[in-house]
Amino acid sequence: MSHNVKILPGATVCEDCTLEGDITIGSGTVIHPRVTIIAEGGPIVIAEYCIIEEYSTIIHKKSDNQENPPKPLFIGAHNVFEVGCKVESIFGHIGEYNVFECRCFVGPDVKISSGCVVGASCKLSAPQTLVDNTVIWGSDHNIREALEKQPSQLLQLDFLSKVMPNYHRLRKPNGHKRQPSRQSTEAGK
Amino acid sequence: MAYLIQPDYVQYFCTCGQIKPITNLYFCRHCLKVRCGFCICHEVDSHYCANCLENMPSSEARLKKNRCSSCFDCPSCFHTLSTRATYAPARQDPAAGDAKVENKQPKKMYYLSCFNCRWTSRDVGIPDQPVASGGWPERTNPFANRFGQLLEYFKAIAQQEKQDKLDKERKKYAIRGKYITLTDKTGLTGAMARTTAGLPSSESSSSAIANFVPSQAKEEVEELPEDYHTKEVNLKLITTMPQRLASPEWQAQLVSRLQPIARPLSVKRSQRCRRCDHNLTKPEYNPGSIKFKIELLAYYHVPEVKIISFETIKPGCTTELLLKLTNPTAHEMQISIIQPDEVPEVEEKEEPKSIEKSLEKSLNLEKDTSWRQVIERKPLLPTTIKLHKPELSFTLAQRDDAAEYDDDSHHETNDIILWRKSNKLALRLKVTTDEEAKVGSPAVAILALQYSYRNTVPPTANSPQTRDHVLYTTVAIHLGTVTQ
Amino acid sequence: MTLYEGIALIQEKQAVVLDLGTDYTKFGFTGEAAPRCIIPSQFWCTKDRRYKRVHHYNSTEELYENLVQMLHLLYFRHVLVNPKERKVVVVESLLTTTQFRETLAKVLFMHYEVSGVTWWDSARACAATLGTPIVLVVNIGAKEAEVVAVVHGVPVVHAIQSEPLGAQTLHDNLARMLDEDNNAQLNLEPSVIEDIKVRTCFVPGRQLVAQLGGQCSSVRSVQYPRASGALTVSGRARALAAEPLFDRDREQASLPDAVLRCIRSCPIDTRRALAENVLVTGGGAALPGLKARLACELRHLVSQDPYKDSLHVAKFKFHSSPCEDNVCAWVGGALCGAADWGVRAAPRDQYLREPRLRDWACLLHNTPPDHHHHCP
Repeated sequence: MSHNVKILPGATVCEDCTLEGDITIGSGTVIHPRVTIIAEGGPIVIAEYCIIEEYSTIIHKKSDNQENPPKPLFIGAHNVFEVGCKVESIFGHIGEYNVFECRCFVGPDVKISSGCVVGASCKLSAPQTLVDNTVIWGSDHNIREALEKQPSQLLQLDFLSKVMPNYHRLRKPNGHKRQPSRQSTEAGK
Repeated sequence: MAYLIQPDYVQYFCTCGQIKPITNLYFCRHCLKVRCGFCICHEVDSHYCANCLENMPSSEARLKKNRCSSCFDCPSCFHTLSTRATYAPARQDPAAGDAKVENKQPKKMYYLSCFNCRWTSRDVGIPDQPVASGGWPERTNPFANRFGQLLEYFKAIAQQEKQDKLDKERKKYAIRGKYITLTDKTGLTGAMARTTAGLPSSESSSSAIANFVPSQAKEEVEELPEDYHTKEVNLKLITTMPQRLASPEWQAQLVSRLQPIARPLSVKRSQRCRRCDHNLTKPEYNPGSIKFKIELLAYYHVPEVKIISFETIKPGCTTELLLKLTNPTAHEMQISIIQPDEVPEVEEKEEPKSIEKSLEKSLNLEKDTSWRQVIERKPLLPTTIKLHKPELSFTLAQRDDAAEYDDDSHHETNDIILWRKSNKLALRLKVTTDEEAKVGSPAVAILALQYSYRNTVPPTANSPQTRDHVLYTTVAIHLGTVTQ
Repeated sequence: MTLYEGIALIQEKQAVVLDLGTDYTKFGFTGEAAPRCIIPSQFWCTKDRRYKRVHHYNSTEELYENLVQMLHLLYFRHVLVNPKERKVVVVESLLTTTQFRETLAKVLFMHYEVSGVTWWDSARACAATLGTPIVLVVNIGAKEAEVVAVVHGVPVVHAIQSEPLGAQTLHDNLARMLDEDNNAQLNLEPSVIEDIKVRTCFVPGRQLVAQLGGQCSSVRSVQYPRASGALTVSGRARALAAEPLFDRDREQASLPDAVLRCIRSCPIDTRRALAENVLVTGGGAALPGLKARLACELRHLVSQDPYKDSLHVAKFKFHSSPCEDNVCAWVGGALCGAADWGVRAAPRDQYLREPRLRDWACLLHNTPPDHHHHCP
């Protein structure tokens, strides 16, 4: 299945990770080793400048009322998936500038907009929608609304894309760079 | 032995009757008694900030209301805030033009941010600061002004009352007036009663009293807006109770009114034996250090008992129990195991009366021992499990760190002493459980240790001490529950 | 610095003010406008490995230990001063049990060796925050709502009204309604109930209650987020949680009845003044709309039986104290404690000689001097 993985130039994807199904990884995105991305319910599109850290899992689950052709899961730009987080989504869209902190779990019925933070070890399984700039933290799932989106991790991305090739085997980019303008219009959908 | 998350299986009886694990007990070398947190005197030793580990002299701490001047807590989740730097875009000054080159450099600005809940000082509209620490706007209590007026007023009344009393005494009024009893009974507001009742108040009514305006009652009470109940409630904008109570001065009800909380200081405590006023613990001044200058813990002076294993306790049965004893002191210890009721009742008797002693007493303030009657209590000893007293007294070698490496397994062992190793030995004891012991109730065996202790406090002139003592300690051993 | 220290030595140490409430404890220094800390009246019990509430006790010994632990927490974690040789102002209800008072005195004098204790009843302390001579204090606490008339610094003891209409009643009612709305035994934590009450509940006005009926379908419901999924707080629960306070069905044991009864039991020449100087305070009074509703109910009830003929009060006027509602009694204690520099404190040596507290309920202390039972 992994031959369906499309890695755009500029993305840093370690070899030691499980990518199953139709997956597109945008330029500037860094995928650490031991990451699992499974697109069983439809293709997964990851936009630019995301960081997906070790042991994190992104699954596009098969849903019962599957559309045909399957709807892609679109993950917006500047998302950070921290170590050990697990995101299962059947909604077709995850916004941008979200942070999924360490060992958090986002169930299939959770809709995530932009600028949200799911705190470390927060398990969101009940159906809900996180509006823009929602921050959830702590074992009691305290919620607050931030004033602005989380800052982007451009410095970190820069560092990672420089350092990662020195220590890990990387997958070769195989896609063609799309026009940035087209990308952004798609992200806006 | 105490455990972090497990229950305390072996507990000691403090002299005051509390039952605690050995790690929570102290040993006063001067009274030769076990003490615990309940029966000793705690004192504030030094103030410090637990975040920046900065010491603060107590006078300064008092001025700053026990708060650190550089560290802040998040008002939303109470985690420590960190200072973050950003580059503010350089402001183009049209007047200066490009004359100043360094002006083009982006200026570093700082704001506070919480790594836990991502709260930032920008969320509530606090402007970024040009310096990394300090300079954050301080909010004053909105009621401070009125409070000040009230305080001045009451102080003036108290002053006047005092003056009146003095005057009366000078004039030597033989008969006490009606209103004096009223004042005596009701406190300072009695004087207030007099002024408001239009009674002849004293001539020296100060300006504070004259100028004071009492609170004005209003007929209308603030009503909720008409559409209050139909409006949507956004819980994210309303603070929770802990968030409100974290700053008692203003208790913000809206999230937008939250302010960084200056971090409360912590204290290092020193502890003192109530009986002899000697220090039991005294911490080092440096906040980063976890060491003590004085550290008289029971763990270093009292033989430690640990459970190796035990047989299940059944009613009417005799079961075996394996214990490990450790001598923590640097001297050999003679230990015998006795029944708890054999511990002699040692009253902490008064010092022998001698002329010198009473002279000393008259010089110093008499030692106050009234606390003893309220603090000390007799614990109830469970008696369902009886210990078979081994007819044996044994010596336990001193603690010797080098002995750890010696291979000395050829000690004499017998039925009771299973093995010895440097300052430790294992014991096999028998306990008999009462027929009537209730199944399911906790099984607690009580045993007492008689041990010799060598006092290492150098004897002083006025307290000639014997070096060797025989001490007692009582231990409660938790053996699970009584089972059928 | 040395000069400063010298001054500090000459001056009397700033006393501390203690208000040990059922739910929250307020603690701080005299002469300050707000307490240093407001914390739940509970401490971590290492023996039981759980938080233990100070007011949950079965014996005097247990209470003694609870108080020792609580004061340790207050002195060494929050206010950071030595309790020894420092005076304490204790703010307490007039109806505090003798057991509690005496045990607290024992802990303070014997265990912590404080140099003196002043006892202030919360009604006089609340009245002190206004500076007016005649105040009717309506204090809505955690367990009870107390109505005390303070006339020229004297609480009118025989007119005290106390009804079990505190925050606890509200919480029980709210928990019951939430269970009904969700068709389940939710067994919510007390802290969650409190949080729901504080953040969503309000007291609707008189007309609105009549208008809404029992249904409250026009009141917006709220989704209360929790770790295990959101909880729906219905409009009914939001609007009617505080209704037991105004429920007259149970032998007229409502809050406005208690206020009117208190006024009626007071001397006739003070009644009008009391009605024109009402102070509604206590943590429970902070609920949005409660004060307005109480005012409205009072004005309505006074024209009804049984007050119509016995109580001729035309106007009700209300004060607001210069502090948050939940710390009013504490602030009063801080004012009074600072004003007299602890002159009135019962000193420690006196207590050691005779461990007995002055109490209004004790005939030893309040027999009039000309009465033949008076012993000097």
